[in-house]
Amino acid sequence: MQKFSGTRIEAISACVPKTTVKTTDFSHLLNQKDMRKFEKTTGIRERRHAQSMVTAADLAFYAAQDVLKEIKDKRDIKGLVFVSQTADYKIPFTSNILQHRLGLHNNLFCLDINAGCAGFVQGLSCAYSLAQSTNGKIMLIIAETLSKILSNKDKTTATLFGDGAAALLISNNPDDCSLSHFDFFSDGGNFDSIIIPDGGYRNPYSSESLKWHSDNNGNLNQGIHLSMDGQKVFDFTLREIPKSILSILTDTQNTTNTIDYFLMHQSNKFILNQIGRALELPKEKIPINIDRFGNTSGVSIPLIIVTELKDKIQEDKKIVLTGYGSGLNWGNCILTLKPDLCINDLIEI
Amino acid sequence: MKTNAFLTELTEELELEVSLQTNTKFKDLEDWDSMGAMVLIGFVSDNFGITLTGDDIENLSDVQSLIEKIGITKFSE
Repeated sequence: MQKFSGTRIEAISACVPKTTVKTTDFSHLLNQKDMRKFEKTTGIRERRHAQSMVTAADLAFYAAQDVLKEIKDKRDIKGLVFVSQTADYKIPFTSNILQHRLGLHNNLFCLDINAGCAGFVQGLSCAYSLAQSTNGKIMLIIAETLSKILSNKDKTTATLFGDGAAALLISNNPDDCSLSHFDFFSDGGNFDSIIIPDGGYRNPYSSESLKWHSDNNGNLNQGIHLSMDGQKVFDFTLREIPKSILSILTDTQNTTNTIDYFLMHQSNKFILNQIGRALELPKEKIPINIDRFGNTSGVSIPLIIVTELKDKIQEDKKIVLTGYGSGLNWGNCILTLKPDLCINDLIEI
Repeated sequence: MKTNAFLTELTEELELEVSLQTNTKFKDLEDWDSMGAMVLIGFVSDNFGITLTGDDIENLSDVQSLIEKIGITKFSE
């Protein structure tokens, strides 16, 4: 477990595309009854999709530009961490491009992290470490355009995911004695549960990558698309996540009663309800926005801070952040949101 | 729970056109899919406090085998 003292989130902004895609827009995949079942189980009514020329880095740029308004001198920023699975290029890495685009000075540590739905908690841990070792401000950006890597002939993925970005300023104050804890888990044995099989160097692009393959339920994917073993991921989540949350609560002398909010990756409303039930949490402690944004991968946790917690942090709020997804990988964090946390209005571009 | 009530409630929850019987095979249901499996897992969790896995669902031959998996003592006529 990692432990930090005096490190905190100062400000947060989020950005989503304006284009709304409703479940009824998937009539080529789902009949009326399937749409009703889909909305009932996943909770997703609509999601945002980026236009073809808008990348994750573009959404990231607007979120980052917005959060930069909160600081007087950009030179206070000592590091930029960019978390995404949908970066602009294979080479170079995107944080370096954003450094220039955002007008940040070049004496800056830039780092990209390729991580999935647990990526926000991983990125936050990294940003906290950098804030402590540099004693400056760290910008953490997380951005995804998963809509660009989905097969529109696969109802298990096409309907599920949305696009978005968030940017945060992390700082360290040695006089602040509030503690934050992080705890991570990995199961690389199930790496293929959520995967784009082709296009890396294990399976380089070839004409085979463009052949369509059907699963047992008639969903069609090419090797360049994200495919997911939904049942395996579902089982993993219910098996591992509640006990991992209990573990960090116990290890930090917390209980579910000492936590104000449980901010969980918005994977699927049904899964969130099951986790909540396993932990015996009241529904008001688990904010949900999946109905409007779908599953935005690692972006979902900061996005929920922006859409659901703005104006609700009038006093210190102790929260648990829980990410889980591709890898398979999962992690939890307990930290305190302070009343002076700046939560900016959601940006739509 | 009474077996008949269980069958009726599960039929409604899964939004099936035909009423479930104890010998109904899930895989024979026209609408049976991964969302149905998720609804079933939720229904069993809510009513009996048992979390079924994907393998459990895969291994269910019919509704009777589901009742046995949940525990036959939890049902009455």
